[in-house]
Amino acid sequence: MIAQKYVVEINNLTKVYRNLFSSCEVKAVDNLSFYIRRGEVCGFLGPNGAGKTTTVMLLLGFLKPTSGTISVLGQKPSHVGVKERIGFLPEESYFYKFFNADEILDYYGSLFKMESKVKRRRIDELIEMVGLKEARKRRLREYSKGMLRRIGIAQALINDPEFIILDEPTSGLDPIGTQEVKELIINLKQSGKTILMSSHLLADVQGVCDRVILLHQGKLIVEGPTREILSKKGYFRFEVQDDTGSTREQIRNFTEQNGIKITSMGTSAITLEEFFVKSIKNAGNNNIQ
Amino acid sequence: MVKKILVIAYGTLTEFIRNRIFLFLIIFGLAIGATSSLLPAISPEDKIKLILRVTFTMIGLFSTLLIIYFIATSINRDIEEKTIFTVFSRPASRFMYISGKAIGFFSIAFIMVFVLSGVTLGYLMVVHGKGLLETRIYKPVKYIKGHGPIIIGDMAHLELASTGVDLIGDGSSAVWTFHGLNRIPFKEDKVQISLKMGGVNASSNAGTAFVGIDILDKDDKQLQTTQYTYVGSMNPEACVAVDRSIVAQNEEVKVKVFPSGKNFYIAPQKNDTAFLLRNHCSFYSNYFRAFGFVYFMVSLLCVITLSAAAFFGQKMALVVSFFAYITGNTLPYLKSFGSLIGMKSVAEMQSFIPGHGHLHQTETYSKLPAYLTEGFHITVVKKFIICFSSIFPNFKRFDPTGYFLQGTYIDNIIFLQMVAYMLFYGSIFLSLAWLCFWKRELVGR
Repeated sequence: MIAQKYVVEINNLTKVYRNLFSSCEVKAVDNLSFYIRRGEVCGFLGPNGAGKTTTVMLLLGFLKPTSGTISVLGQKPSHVGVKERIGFLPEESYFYKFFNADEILDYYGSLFKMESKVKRRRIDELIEMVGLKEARKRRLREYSKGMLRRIGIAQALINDPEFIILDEPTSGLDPIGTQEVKELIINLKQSGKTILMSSHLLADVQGVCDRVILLHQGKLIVEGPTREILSKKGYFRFEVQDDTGSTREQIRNFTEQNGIKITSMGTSAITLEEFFVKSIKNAGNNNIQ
Repeated sequence: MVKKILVIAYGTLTEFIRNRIFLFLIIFGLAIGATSSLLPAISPEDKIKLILRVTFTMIGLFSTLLIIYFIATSINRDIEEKTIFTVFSRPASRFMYISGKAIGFFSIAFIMVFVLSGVTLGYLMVVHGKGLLETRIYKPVKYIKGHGPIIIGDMAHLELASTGVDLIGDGSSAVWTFHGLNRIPFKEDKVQISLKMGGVNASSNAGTAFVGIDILDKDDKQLQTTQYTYVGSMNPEACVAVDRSIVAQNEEVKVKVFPSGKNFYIAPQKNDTAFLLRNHCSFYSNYFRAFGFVYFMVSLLCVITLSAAAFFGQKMALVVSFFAYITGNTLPYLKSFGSLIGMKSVAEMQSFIPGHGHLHQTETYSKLPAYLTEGFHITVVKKFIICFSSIFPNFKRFDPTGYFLQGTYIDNIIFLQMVAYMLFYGSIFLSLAWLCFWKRELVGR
């Protein structure tokens, strides 16, 4: 089978919600066109009501488009066979909470064409990967929000999918969990997976996405590689190591002499998230010692 | 595909088991047994019959209420809590989902009816063990029909005749005349005769008439003491045990059935029939067949509720399912009502509603105003009711209580007929569920 260049191709997609008993219509997606290349991590952004969830539902075949076409892995999204190659993490933790972690993964795994041994091994790997080894026999109704998110990620990967749709993957996770998920997404990308990541947490998207798609009121506003979109043309920044304490003054003098205008200058700082993760990891290492 | 359907069925069954409804089932079962034991009855045998009647009615009712609630909430909870998305984002079609759910619900229905029947039977065995074992279940041997003498198969020398109706209405009685019973080599001490009547009615006691039965010789002399029994108003059948010695000594035996109180009416018809009941089987064999009947009814309700839940939201699905349950259990009455609409003469009504032979009741019907008895709208309503009651499944067919009241055996043919009936309607409603769910939008705004 020849691998297609695009995993998702959407052309002139429109979805209108109609009420049977009134003339009220809501255009959730309006003439949307975009594509996702094989092997890339694509960020799907937009404010509430922008049409992100509707587009995801259309991509998974839960909704039928009013007009336009969608192709996922070269097939219509409603095709049952295409689901063999897709992994989906829903926005909320919509799982059967009467199962435990082992059982829920076995339940979803059994819906795929997987050999029993392969499935068993995969369940063990995923539970280990999302850090739920100790809680694997506990019912999901006893799980915290973060634990449910972790099992959600595990179930999305049970079939080792080619294309993964992650809806708010870091929602409910603490900074360490968020960091782990971001690392996981990068690892998945490195192993050749294609990922569509819908999120409100822009810092998460910025950290892992190759490309972003920005929606507003069902329409595509901006689409392009993350770096290109975020770069300020005509401006650049660099970080300098200041061992002597006089480097700042030297640079200022140099730029003034050469007619270079500095628009901002300050002390480099790590983000609070980076600081939190670093501190918790250090505390963990000290305890072990 | 089968594997995926079974996985979804397993999920549904696990959901039920982990909801701890089992505990309720055991409590319900014990409550049913205890309640039915408190029933008043005139004889130990009648008490057992009544207990079994109430037991199966309540098992059917409890199972139905629980399963309707469980199905209506289960499907809609999957949709409202969006759990269904995690199933449909896998290679599972809507057809597989509904089929899996249906199998899961059938399994749950089986567990429910089995646990309820088992707990109730256990309770009854502990409390009435001896009485249950002594309950005799008879098998109808031959079907005797018509007025003239009829030669019956392998008992070629027997001639039986039914004289038909003597009286109809309040204080009425019906007399069946049997010729040649003395030439049958009965082995048992009692000769069991079952008399099938066109209708009985009771203005009280939940549709059950209490009747007396006398055994008379050709000169109307009473040959044994009057026996009393209950007769259900649906498919009424009165059973009587006649001493073998009486049968052996009389070429002609008359069996007279009469209502035992002023609240009971019987309305035998000219084409009423009689059975000779022989070859008694074990009580438990009948009990488990009766369990099967209740299970078929609950399964049929499962599919009806499934199709309602596949199309409507939770509340509407509950309403539709309860409507179906009530309608299915009152269908024969609905059909009678449909036939009655527009009739003006008492005689015309009598011919359609044999169970309502009481004169005062029919006179009341005839005094209805003209707009309720004639006109195009009446024709449309009448045709609609008759048509609807002809095509909608009749749950009364699955009611095993009549067999316990009459002490008759649920034979293989009747059992298979019920299986076929359930499969026929079950497949129609299951197809409807597939169709409704296939078209249903799972995401709204």
